[in-house]
Amino acid sequence: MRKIIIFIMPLVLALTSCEKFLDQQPISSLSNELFWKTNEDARLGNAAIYDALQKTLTDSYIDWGDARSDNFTYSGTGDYQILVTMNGLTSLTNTANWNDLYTTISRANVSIKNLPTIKTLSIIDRDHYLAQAHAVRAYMYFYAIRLWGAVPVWLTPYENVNADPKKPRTPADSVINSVIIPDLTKALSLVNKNVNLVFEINQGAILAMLTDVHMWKKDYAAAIASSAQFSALPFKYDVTAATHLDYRNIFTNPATSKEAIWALNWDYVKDGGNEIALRIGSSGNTSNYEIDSVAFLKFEADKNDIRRAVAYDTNVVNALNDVTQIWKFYDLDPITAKPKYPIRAESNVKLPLYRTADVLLLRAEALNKTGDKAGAFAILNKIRTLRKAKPLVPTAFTTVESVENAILDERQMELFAESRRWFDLVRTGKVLSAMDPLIRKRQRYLRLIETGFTDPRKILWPISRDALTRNALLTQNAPYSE
Amino acid sequence: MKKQFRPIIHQRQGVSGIRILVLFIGLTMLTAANLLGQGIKVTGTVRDASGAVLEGVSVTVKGTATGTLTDEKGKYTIAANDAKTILVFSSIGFSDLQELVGTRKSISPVMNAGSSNLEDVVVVGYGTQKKRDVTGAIASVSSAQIAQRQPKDLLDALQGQVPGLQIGQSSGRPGADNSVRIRGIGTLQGGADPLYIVDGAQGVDIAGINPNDIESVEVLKDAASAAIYGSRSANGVIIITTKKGKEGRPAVDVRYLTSASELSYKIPQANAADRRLYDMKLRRNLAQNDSLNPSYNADNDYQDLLARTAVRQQVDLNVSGGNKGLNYYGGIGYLSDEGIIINSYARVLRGRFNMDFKPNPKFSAGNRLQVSYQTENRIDDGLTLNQAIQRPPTFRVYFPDGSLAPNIGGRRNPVAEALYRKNNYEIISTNLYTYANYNFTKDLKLTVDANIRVNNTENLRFSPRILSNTGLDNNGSINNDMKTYWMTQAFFNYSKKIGKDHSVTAVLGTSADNDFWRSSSMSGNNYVSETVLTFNSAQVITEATTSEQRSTSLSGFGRLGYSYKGKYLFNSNFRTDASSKFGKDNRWGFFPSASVGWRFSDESFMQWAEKFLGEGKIRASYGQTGNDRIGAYDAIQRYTFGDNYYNGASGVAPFNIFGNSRLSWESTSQTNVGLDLSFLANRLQFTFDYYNKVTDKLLYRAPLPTETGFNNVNVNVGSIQNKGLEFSVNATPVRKKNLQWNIIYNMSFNRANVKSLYNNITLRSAYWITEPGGLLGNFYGWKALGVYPYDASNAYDESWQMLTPVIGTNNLPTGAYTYGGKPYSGKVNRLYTQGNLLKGGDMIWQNTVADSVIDDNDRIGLGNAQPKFIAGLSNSVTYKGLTLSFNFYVSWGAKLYNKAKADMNRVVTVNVTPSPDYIRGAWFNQGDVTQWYMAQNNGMGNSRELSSLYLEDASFIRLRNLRLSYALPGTWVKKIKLKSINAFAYGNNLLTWTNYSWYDPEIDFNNPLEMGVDTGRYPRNREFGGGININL
Repeated sequence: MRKIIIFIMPLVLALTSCEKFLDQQPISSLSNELFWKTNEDARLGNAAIYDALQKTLTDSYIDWGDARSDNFTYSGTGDYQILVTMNGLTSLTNTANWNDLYTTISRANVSIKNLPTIKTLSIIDRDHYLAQAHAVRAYMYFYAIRLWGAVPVWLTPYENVNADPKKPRTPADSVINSVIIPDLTKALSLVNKNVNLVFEINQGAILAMLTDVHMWKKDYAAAIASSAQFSALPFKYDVTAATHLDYRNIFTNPATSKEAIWALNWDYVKDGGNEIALRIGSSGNTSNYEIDSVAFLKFEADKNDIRRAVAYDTNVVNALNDVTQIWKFYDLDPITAKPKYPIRAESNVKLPLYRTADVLLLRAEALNKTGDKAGAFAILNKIRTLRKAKPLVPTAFTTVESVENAILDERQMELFAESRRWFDLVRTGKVLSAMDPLIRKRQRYLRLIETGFTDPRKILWPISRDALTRNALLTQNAPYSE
Repeated sequence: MKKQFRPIIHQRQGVSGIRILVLFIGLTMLTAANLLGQGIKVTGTVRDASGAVLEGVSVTVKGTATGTLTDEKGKYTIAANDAKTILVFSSIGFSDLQELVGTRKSISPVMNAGSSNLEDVVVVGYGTQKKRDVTGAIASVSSAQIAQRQPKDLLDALQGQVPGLQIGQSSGRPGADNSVRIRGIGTLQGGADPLYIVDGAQGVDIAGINPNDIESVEVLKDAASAAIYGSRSANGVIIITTKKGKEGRPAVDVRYLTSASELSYKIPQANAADRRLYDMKLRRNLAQNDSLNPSYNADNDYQDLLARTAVRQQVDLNVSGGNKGLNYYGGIGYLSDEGIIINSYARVLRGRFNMDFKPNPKFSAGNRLQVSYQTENRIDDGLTLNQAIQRPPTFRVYFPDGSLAPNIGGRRNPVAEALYRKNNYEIISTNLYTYANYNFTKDLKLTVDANIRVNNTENLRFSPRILSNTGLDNNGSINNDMKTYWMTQAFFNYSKKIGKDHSVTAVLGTSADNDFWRSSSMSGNNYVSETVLTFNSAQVITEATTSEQRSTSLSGFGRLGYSYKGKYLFNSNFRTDASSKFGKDNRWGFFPSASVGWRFSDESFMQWAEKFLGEGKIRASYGQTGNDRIGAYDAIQRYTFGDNYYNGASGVAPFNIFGNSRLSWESTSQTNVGLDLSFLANRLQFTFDYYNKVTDKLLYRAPLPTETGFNNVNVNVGSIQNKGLEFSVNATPVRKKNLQWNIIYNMSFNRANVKSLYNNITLRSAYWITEPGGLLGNFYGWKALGVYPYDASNAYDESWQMLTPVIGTNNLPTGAYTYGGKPYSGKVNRLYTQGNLLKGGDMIWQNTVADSVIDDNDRIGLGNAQPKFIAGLSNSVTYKGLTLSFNFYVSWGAKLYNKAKADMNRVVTVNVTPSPDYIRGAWFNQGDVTQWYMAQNNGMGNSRELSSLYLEDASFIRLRNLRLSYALPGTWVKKIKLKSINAFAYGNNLLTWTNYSWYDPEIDFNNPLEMGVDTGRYPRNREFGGGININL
């Protein structure tokens, strides 16, 4: 036995000297210490943040921001959309999972931490990348608190396997005041004022977001200030589209429009097809959602409004068929001069994230709330006139609320299917009044027992079971199942 | 002079060996048969020690296939070639006996009781062991057992033959994958397949082995046996030894078989009348109208349209032979295997050349060359069979002009899918193993060897326009996987008998290997022409990428064996391994083991039992083994790119699985206790084993809170325990000259318990829950309790006990309730689910957490996907030249999720046609009592997954194989100058007893976290065939 041990010792030593043979570094990926070295690394790390944003919003843009509102109702095949449109969300609902959203946040965190370590990067470029990371992070947290209320806050990357990966939820107010607004303020101070690329965060987008966040906080003075700052930008954002072509151009070619502030570019070859083509604009007329009668009748009420024919095919209406497809985001076919529904895998929809009309209408709301009815109507009618809709007569609106309703209606038309309507209803406390009758109607149609919206606490989304399982410090939103 | 002459002779032999190979390929070897001599006639009577005559003793001419059996008087007659001929006498229960013929015409030997069977050697790691000296749990399968099955590949040959070895075929598709589990599953994601060693080499592609070329298979089950393969042996080791040439004249074997297969079971499917009934229930419109549109007015039996009688043809040819210094074995086989779904096939060409060269007593060298080439059209069962089962039978398949209809109403045309969609595979695999031995002394031998494998898989997919929804889009892809592997080893074998009683064996060695993989994939659409499918045809390239990975390992290993008088046995294996896959500081692992055996039957105090107890041995072993089958770079935190594009830039982002630099070996400790008994001169043998296998430091991707930006972290935490029992019985109830009967029965029980997990975080996937204290493969879902007959039936008392509505004279509920037969007057609770109140026609779910909502908290464990036991029974009866053999395979107690049926009955897509029992039974009117929910997509989750409604018992007993073969009498065969001819007829999967309702209850167990889902797999076939084996 001893002989054997004597024999094996040199053998083991010989093997140990072969450590080099055992050092295999990744061939088709980079180990951590090799990245964040060059200016190109900064650009590519930055692109990864937007990539995660694409993955977050391709499914959820409509589901989070429109599907639960009176813009859409269930359609097509499957039962997922019935749950979403009938207040039947559960912790197993796919889009209740925030994993993609937090991936976006974590990539922003990685950029924020590592950008300053690249020595060759100019301060202007570094700050511009930092501004984008901060602003996208704020954008994601803003979605998160509007959907789930309190959420866990991560501002640095998770890097040490021994560190506790679990964090409890932070109340929404505190997220707004200590994460979102500071991030946006910081982004505003760092952003390169000379760059106005529509497919990236830019100065206008940061101010638009600030306006949006202040409105959510009901801080109308701050919203007015931010929107004023926005309108005063040298880029001169404004509403201009007065024809079908110009209006569609905001969505299909945002880089050429003063109306588009920030949009998410899409190239199906690299990014996969945009899910809009499944959710609301299916080429096979089996969209998950179809336009709800509420939104539809508002469009039909004014047939001159250019936004109507851009939203859907009016020939379908004339033929007395149901409108099951929204073609607002699609390019015109050069031969037929009509929008062409792409197949799902080849859909190149550029998601509009902020638009000038959005900021102006938020400003109108703030003005209304702060007593400037005339200012509010000036904005409202400027947009309506431009879009060939009949201007409203201010004297017909006697209360602050009636003016607010008029603005919200205008936002519904103007920002239809742009991930706005649900949040507008939540923000202004109109979910129950808008949705309870609709849900009762849908229940009757499906021969269910008519119960309505049932519980206002269901305005918040449930935390997904997946998240609850992974993180024991999370608690469920009542009344969803713990 | 002589010394120089010897090698020259051997060289000439070598040349002739090559020439023989050439001849063999040229099929001109037939003339060799003419050289067979006439010989000397030898007769005699065989007796045992007591003088009684022995019937059924096999008498063979050594080195040839010539042989006979003794008759009831112990007599035999055999033709010997010449005086140098050696006759071999063998019989179960007796030691083999060899007699040189010399000048004798009559030889009447006396055979001594002994254990010829246990004198057999078994192949263990880096050497062989006498079977009687084995102390671990090792099971063997011989070439004869394999030949009974007409297997297509190795695993087809092994199912049900070895206790503790569980083989599950994923489907009946030609070339379908198998899962192979030895003693359960002891890992979550570390890879659960056993290690395969082919002729001493790791990394050989076992799919490339022709089962006809296999001499024996050994399955090393316990840690003590497997530990010599250290870090790769935790799932057990399967050692395959291929055939070698035997000394003597060239032997040529020709085998041919052909068979016809059919769908073994047809699933009840809705016909046009069922579909109209369904449309009526769906639309709640009592009028059942035939459509006037000819596209919707057919009545297809899709299973008939898709299935066919499939033909299998297999030809094998091999030549073997050798002389003192050289032996060779060459084989080539071609298998053409049609699938029972139209247009599916696999064609496999497998070749082998084994050669051993021994120029002098000190040195020997040799090689094993294995080449295979396979082409396959792999039909996607999801797009053909599943679509066929779901598609309304009324939809047309063909236009009147005979052309195939495109997609209608979002439903694919399954016939068009099968005929036009391309999913072609082309697999080339080559393996060359070379070794050299040098004997320093009689006792000490050095072996140096190397193995190189190259495996290239090309997959071409194409979906033409006719298969697209628009009729305008086509797309395709070409994927290529190229894998190379090399391994080299050097080891010493030492074996010494010290004095009369002590024998020592030892092994010491080292090895290194390198595994490389490159994958390339290209996909595109809008092909210029649908007849040109090379990639220049794609107008839009949507993907063009390659990626590579490499892993390396180094090892040192050894074995020490000691035996005292063959009674007291001791063996110890150990190995130390280092792998590039692990963190730098945790690379090395040490895997020791020890085993002891006691042949108590050799003890003097057991002499009283000698008459009936031939052999009795107790074995005990303990050892540690490891598992390294994780990703090549799991210990490294990485940035990845290639699928993170935005706006023209390829985003670089942290990989979403956190790389853990402290990652190390998964380690399995296993205790094995075994007992071998043999009675009545080995005509009855028992083997019994108990094991307890505990895997610690589980390697898996543990879930992280996704708020960190990571989905998972690679960890080394947690524990799984497998406990089990195995036994086998081998009996020879009849052993007469003209009649022999042999039965082998084996059975194994295994239970896999999860003991702990990382941070005790439960692992949930769609239908399973893996939690500390639970079993692996536990299903998790809602328990179905029926369907509410009335809206009013959704009524519960305050402790959520279900109330019964009182039905009035108008057959409607009166609003009153009873509980336990007595009127109930308390508060009536009602259950919600997914936001709405349950009502008549909705499913009644078990309200596990007694509250007002049926939600995910009400899910419970619904059963387990793994069988409680598996068993195999083989039977072989030989009467004169006629042999009838059959074997049964049993898998008992597993649950299987019939997802194919659940998907059909989801009622969320109008054109998906449910099963006929659903259509006829679906709730329609208030008061209907049925198990089937109403046909309406109402968002109430009646078809939610996982529902116990679709979880079925997958127990089955299968007559796996039945074979009748006839060996033509030797006298006839000799007349046509052949050695032997065997003709046979056989059937596979002739009968299956099961309650499972879809095609087949047998399934693979690939992912330990996700076992037992039948998505509507390619059905298994029933095969009838016949063939002939000719020995020249």
